[in-house]
Amino acid sequence: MQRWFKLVMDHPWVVMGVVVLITIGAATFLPRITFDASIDAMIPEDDPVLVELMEIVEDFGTQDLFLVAVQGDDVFSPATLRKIHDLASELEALPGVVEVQSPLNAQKVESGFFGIEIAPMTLDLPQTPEEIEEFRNDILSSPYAGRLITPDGRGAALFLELDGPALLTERNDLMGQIEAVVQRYTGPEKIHVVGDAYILYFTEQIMKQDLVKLVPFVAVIIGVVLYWTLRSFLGIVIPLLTVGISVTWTVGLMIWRGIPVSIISMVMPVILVTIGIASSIHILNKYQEGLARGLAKREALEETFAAITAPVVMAALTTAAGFASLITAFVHPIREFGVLTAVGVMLAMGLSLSLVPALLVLVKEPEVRQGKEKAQKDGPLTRILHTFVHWAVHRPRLLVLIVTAIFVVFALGATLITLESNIVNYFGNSSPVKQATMVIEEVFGGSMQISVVLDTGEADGIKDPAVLEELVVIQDHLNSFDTINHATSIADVIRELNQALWDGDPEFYAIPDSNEAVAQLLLLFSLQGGSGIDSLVTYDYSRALVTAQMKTLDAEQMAQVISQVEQFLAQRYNSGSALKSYLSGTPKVMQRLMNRYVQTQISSLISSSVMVGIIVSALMKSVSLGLLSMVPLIFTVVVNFGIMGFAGLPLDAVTSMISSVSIGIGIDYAIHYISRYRWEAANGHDPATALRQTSTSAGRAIIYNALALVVGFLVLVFSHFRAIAVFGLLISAAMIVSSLAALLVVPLLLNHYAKRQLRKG
Amino acid sequence: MKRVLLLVLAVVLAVGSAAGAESPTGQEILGDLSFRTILSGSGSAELTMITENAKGAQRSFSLKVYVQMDEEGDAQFLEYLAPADVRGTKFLSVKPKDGESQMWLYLPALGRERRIAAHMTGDSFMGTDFTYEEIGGDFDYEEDYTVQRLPDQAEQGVDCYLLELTAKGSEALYSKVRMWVWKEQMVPVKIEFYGSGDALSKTLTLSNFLPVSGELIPHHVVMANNAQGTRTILELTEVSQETVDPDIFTVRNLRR
Repeated sequence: MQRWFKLVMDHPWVVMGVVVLITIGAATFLPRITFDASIDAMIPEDDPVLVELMEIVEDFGTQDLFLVAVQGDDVFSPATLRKIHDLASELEALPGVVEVQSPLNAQKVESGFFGIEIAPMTLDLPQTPEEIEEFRNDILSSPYAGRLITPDGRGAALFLELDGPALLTERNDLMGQIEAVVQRYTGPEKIHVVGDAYILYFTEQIMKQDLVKLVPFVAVIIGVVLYWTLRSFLGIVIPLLTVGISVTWTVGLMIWRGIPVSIISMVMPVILVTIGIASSIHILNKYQEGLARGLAKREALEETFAAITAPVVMAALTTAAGFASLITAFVHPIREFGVLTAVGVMLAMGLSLSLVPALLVLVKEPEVRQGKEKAQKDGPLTRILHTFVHWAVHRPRLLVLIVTAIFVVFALGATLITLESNIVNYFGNSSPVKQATMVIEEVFGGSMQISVVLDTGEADGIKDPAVLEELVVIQDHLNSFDTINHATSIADVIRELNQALWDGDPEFYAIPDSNEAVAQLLLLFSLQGGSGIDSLVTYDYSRALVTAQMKTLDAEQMAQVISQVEQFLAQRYNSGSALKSYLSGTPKVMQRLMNRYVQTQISSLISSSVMVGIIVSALMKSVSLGLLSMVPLIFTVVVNFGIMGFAGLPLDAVTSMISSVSIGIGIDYAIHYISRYRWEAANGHDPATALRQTSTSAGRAIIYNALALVVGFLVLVFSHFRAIAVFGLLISAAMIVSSLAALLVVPLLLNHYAKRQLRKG
Repeated sequence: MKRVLLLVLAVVLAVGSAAGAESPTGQEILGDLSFRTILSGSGSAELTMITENAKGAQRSFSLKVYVQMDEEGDAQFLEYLAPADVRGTKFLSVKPKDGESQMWLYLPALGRERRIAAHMTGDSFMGTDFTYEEIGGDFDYEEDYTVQRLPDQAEQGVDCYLLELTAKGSEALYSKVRMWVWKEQMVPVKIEFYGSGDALSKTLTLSNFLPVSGELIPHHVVMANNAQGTRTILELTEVSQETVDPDIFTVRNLRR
């Protein structure tokens, strides 16, 4: 290692050149940055839930709802009807919009004077009071009541069918155009847009805004922290330059590998900047200390890197291990984030040990102000730190009791944790997408589509009246839940046609009793130009779909309802049944994701603990010390879950990373503390004195380090995403808890450990 | 449905009526093919109609069709022969000269005949790739389009005149139509319909010309919807130009 530093310090320009070249190379990738915030992207492509959904999309077309809802005092007024009409036709004219179903053009089956007719609800825009009254009666007596228009006349919905391929390539253009059209028609009526594609588009915009805002913000905040700790211009520039370059390299690598920025990885720059400066601080601190002692520049540098390399490498390795442990996560972007951040941490470490010495050789040594050391010696912080040690040595039972009590209380709180997977809930309540979704769920009965497949396994199987009755049973079951509305299937089409055939007699709103009768009604349907059944039944009539709208904002309730429906289907169409049935749709994907958060949590917790434990044990050459250093972390993780449980903060894709991240970062405190203690003990101090010495030296560094991290992470509180703001708060809290735990619990354990060693002789 | 058959029969019955000038203009060629002039006479046919979705899945129906066209108006009667679950379903359409169409449907499994309303939108008709307008009897190329003759081309292995029809105004359903006319027989073997932006919308292909009562009749007609990837295939199995008994075209006959 010494040879390396000699090489670097002898050829600083070469090091600079290489770093600049790599940075330019990485920066050329930056303009090609892509974003992906979709729920589907969170799940591995080969997951059975996603495979089933893809199969349904292949057979029945898109399963995503896209709604534009008009909210006004009276949507049946001539002006609002005209607005709905114009809005619908303008939206339909957009490239990428296949069809717009509105209250005005929805297909109705009618038995009138001229015979059975399948026609749009209105042919001409109703404007006179009589026309409007007729339209009102027509639509409110149709299955579209409550779905396309509310009976109280306060809301009307347009269902847009979007072109699948266009959504893949030109989603943002299309969404921008839809947004522009909607804006033009807004007022006095409110117009809301809800749909996966729109939420993705909106999320991406917000992600970009967030990045543009948060990254410079964290740089400024960290700059202030640096000035406060190092008191030199150099102390600001060098750490910021180092982390800036490491972020550029990492993001460049990410883009080069074709990985889009996700709602999770967008916190990476802030995290890398915040944790990346620690090593530069340690280096500069030590360097300035050397200079203050009157060492020459080169001497001071050589001493600095001889002393600092091991702890810097150790800290980076454990932090990287914490992030890398996320590779065991189920949620795909978490895996990407974990690995990339681990790489970023290692890159920052590499730069600290190459670029930083090279830079320090090139620039003039800073002027070092002295004299502030003294003031800190007897400050309140020192007293607090000493009190901690005092408790550990003289009141071990009380301390154990208190720590255990806190542990138990928060462990109980952890049982209250809720799960969240609806991306809309990642936004705050004032966000337009959240508000639109709330309106749509409240007024129109659901913002997402849920689908149940009924598979007969044979062509024309669906034409069997008994099978159609099963579709009715499934529909009725779905509609029996408060959170599911407007369940529909081909059985509705058959029943409507049958009723129309029998002059509109309500008694004939029923499935006829033979396959032939069903087939002939379907023939009548196609003869009359009826459309829309391709999304309800496969071309060979072997499989049918029941679709419904579902409320998903309360994700836990949604997951429960899905389980209940699945249970019902599993019982009714068990292995003895000729029919097969299963549930699919975005809500199912969300439920899957929620169930996997817990698994992600457990697996990443275990793997990060094991990895960090092994690294620490190896570095300290002691398994018991390795295990000991894990104790404050386990405490921190439990307290974090307890806070989430008590505060009602849900476990979601973002917050499920907290424990691994806090283990990876928090271990550093324990390492520092234990290393220092061993050094003090080796220098002949008895345990109590060694602990006192440790608490003032290492303890102080731990507190500063934790505060710097807290300040950096708190920047995330200013994110537009509620989930990320919560993450920022919780990870900050975790930093405080783990540093306090290190300062309280570690001395306790070390003291106990020392006594046992003593007894053993 | 009836429009589909009108077209089929129109093309079928038209054959041979064209006069062969040495180098006719586009207008002359089109004049000889005018669908309107063809819609006279009666006949019957048996055919298989296959609709195919974008994934290549097919639904097949067999029908017996009767058509009668004269000064008093048009009438069509058709009966489903297969598949078994719709066998015996009958459809009657009567359109008096200058009057409204009236249509009836008889569904044997429900034991009921019902009048059904004439459809009014330009959407897919009967789940086929034919639309009401392009098949409709009032579809008038000469009125709505400007004709231009392009250099001759071979199509389906025969020498063809190639006509390009450009829409005169917004009334026309298509912006452009291209028609390949078999010189020797003066029948179209292929027609391309272009939509907005001159994008190819549909392609009609006529083949398997067989002589019926001394005239060549296409027994294989395919309409491909290029935008949606769907196709409708008509396969004629039996064609007759014998006059049909007028009693066929009555509501009474539906239940028979």
